[in-house]
Amino acid sequence: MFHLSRRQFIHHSLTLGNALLAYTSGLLPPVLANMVWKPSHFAAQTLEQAIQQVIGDQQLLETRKIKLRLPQVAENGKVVPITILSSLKNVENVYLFVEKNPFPHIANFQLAPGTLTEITARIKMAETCDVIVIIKDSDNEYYITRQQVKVTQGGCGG
Amino acid sequence: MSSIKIRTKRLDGILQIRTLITHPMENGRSKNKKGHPIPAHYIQELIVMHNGNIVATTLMAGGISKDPYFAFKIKGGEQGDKIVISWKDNMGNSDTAERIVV
Repeated sequence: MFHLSRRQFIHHSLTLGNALLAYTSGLLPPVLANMVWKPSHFAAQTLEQAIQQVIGDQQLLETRKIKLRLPQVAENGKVVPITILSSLKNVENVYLFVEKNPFPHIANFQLAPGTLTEITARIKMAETCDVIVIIKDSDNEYYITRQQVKVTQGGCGG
Repeated sequence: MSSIKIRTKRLDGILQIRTLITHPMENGRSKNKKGHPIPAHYIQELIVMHNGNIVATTLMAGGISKDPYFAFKIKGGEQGDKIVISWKDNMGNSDTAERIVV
C-alpha cells in the first residue's frame, strides 16, 4: 500500500529536488567546496607544467613510502590498472600523472582522514613512459615516486 | 538503470568500496569511423560517501579509462552502513547510487 498523502508526497519530492539542486550547484557537501573541478587543473601539456601547477614552489621529496602496483608491460594502453599504496601519515591528496600523455595530469584524489591510502583505478597511457604519483600530507609536504610502464599499444586515440 | 555499480566488502576493521561506472570517458581527441572527431565527454568529479560523510573526492579528466573502475578502503564499516557514490561529467550529466553494506 502507498500511504503517502498528497502533501507528504509533494514535500518529499521537493526535498529530493532541493538535495539534487544543492548537489549540482555545488552547495553540498562542504568538502566539495575546496575541491572544485577547473579546466586549468588538467590542461597542462607537459609533466613539468602539470606538477608545477599542483605543487607551486614547494619542494618534492623522493620517497620509498609510496608503492605503485602497475604492470611492467601494458598490452593495451587504453586500460592500465594501477594501485597506489602508501605508508605515509595524514595523506590529504594523491595526484596521479602519466609522463608522456598529451595531458599528463590524470587524477587528483582527496582523501578524508579515515580513508586508507590504497586506491585502485584504471588509466590511459599513450606510450611507454613513467607513471608518477605525488602525495600531499597535512603538513603540506609533497612526496613523489615514479615507475615505468612499457606500453605495446597506445591508448589515447587521435 | 543506474550507471553506477557499487560493491563493498568488510575486511577485518576495514571496508573496501569498489565501483564500476558506465561512461565513455572520451578525451576529445579520438575520431569515429568516418574520421569525425568525437566530442570530449568525461566524468570530472566522483564523490564517495560513507554514512553521509565524504571519504574520497576524485577529480579527473579524459585520462581515466572508459567505464571507470575505482576502489577505495576506509577504516571501520559496519553492516547496514550506507555508501553513496555520485559523479558529474563535463556535459552536465550526473548520477548517484547507494548501497548498504552487508
